[in-house]
Amino acid sequence: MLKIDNLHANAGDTEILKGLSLAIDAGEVHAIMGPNGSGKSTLAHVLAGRDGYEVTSGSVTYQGTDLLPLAPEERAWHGIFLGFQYPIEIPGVNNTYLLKAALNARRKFHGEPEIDAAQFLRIIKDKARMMKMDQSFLNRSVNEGFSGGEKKRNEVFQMAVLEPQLAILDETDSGLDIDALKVVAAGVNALRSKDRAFLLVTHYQRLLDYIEPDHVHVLAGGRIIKSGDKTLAHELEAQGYDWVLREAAGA
Amino acid sequence: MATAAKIRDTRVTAALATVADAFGAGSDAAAPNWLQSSREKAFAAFLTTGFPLARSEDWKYTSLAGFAERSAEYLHNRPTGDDDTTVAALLDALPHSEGGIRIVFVNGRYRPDLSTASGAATGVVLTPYSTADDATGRRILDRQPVDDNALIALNTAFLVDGLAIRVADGCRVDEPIHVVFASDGQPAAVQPRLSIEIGREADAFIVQHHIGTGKGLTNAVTGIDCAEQAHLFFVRLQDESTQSIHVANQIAHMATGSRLDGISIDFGAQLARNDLEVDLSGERAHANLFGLFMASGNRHVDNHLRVDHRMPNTSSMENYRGIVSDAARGVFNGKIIVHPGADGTDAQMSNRNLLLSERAEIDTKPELEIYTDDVKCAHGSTTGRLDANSIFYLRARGIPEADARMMLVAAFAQEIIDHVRSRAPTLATYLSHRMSQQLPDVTQ
Ligand SMILES: Nc1ncnc2c1ncn2[C@@H]1O[C@H](COP(=O)(O)OP(=O)(O)O)[C@@H](O)[C@H]1O
Ligand SMILES: [Mg+2]
Repeated sequence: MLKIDNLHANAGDTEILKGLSLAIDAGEVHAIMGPNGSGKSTLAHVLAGRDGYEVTSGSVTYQGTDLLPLAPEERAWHGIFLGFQYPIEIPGVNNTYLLKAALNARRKFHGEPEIDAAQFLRIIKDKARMMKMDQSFLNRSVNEGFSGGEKKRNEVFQMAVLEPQLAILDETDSGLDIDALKVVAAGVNALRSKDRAFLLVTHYQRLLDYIEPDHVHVLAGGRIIKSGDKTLAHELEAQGYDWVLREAAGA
Repeated sequence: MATAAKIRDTRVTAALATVADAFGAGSDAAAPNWLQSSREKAFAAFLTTGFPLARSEDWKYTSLAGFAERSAEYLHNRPTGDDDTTVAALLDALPHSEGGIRIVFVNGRYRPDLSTASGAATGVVLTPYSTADDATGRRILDRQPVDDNALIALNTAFLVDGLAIRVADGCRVDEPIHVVFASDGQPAAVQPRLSIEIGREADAFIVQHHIGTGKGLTNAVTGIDCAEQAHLFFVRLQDESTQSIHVANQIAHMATGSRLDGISIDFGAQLARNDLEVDLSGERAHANLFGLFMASGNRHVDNHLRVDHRMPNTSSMENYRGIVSDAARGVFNGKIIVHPGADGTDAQMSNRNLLLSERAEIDTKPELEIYTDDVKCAHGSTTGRLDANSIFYLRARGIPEADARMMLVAAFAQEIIDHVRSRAPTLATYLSHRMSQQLPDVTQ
């Protein structure tokens, strides 16, 4: 589904991604862990098409086509979703209104008619219930006045409504208490399917207790320096990153 | 002084002579008798001060040369009748009034045939100046600004009609009192006048709504008087044609424990200048003032605000937003004066502007004069472009870039409009609709 090959990317004048390669197949859940500042959010942003990053070499192929020339909205229409590490507040833009506009923009791109209003309402009510979000959140401005945990929950709620093919969740688990973490994990697990893939950026092995990854990668210095299965996450939790960094330096 | 400003001042002075001729050409037969002496007094005052000139600090960014010249031309050339076809079309586009009270003025004159006051609660007295007898008229005038500044003096001098709204003590009026001032596009120098008196512990909702077509000219004056514990929810909606010139003054006196919720919206006019003065002259009087102005093309919108805290524990909150695009210009000047003895004053002022083009311009200036120690004052102003993070967030959800920009501009304006919603949902929906029609092209 997604193939990243030797990707180099700058933010401003600084090279952040320095030859990153990663392949994700449909149905898989990949976790990316790594020290602060190692380039995890940069990777997520480059995949979502954010301005301000320059890809200097390498390639990203998504569903067989070159992803990099596409605008952020086009990537969304093709099924890419980014859950933000720091979801922003957008006063005056209603949560429900945003989701309806987003769904309809995608449907329009695919030559489908606008979503039926009643059906849409049913969907958002169901998903809000699944995310244990109060219905009142639906009619509030996007993230405005939400607590940190509510914002993260809202990201997963949006994901659940939009049903992407490839969901990139950037530290969605940070700042969540255990109950919220379980809800977020349940939201992700409910969406897992054989033709959908997840890229979970996380700091803590904790999330992976609830969402079992197929692959775990360590991102450091702008590259994947080690990959393994879920046991790698446990090792990192127990021993930190130093041994991986040393191992990579020694190799 | 810059040469351009000097030339403008010369134009203004020339216009003044023509205006004097118009006044001298004889009193207006339609004006009630009881207005005559005030008109003369105001005119004398106007002649002394003249039109405000560029050299005055209050008029630094806004030239009244065009206003003066159009006044001179239109005051000489008064239409004999209203263009009813045009007026009907203008009125048709308005929201259906929520309680049924709508008072309509065309080119400054009351039109009973277009007005409905049947829904008025007992305790609400609506008096068009043209229907007032001498005693009533003099009582109305008593409470009204006559010549507080040049524009108010000009309004009084050429005043032919107006509306006095009086809400009796303890009376609560839920349905909005919708006062419409329509200009039909004929050359008329319209001097609308609204006099509002809210009795003790009374509560009312009044909409002052300006609509028009063509090259209108409006010089509006509103006097507001809130007695002890009174509450007024006041919406001023300037939605005139984009070729019109619109200047307006509102002066509000707030007695002990009274509260003013004001929302001032400028959608239209080639040149709009709005002066709002709120005098918190009783203890614990409170004013909540919201504003929204949108200017595109080469239009110019200037909001001047002045709040006087004269007594202890008074509070004011101002929240004005501007959206300026193309080569348009917006001005915001907010003055807060905390007088000696007004201890416990709480004054908050915020002005935020969206500047949507390189050529657009905003001049924003807060002025605080504080003569007592025990105060809480805060002011802030920001002027910027659309937030890149917000645009990216929306695009990442699948909103096309152009739509994302539109959504953010609309959201910025909507936040002001939302303050009307709890009191008047129909009006809020209408305002949103009008706002979306004014949105500048931000698709680039
Ligand atoms: N716009 C930018 N300009 C310059 N440096 C940046 C920019 N964005 C991020 N960085 C730097 O890139 C590095 C990686 O950041 P980030 O991808 O956010 O790391 P992570 O998410 O792994 O903590 C950090 O050192 C950060 O300071
Ligand atoms: Mg990060």
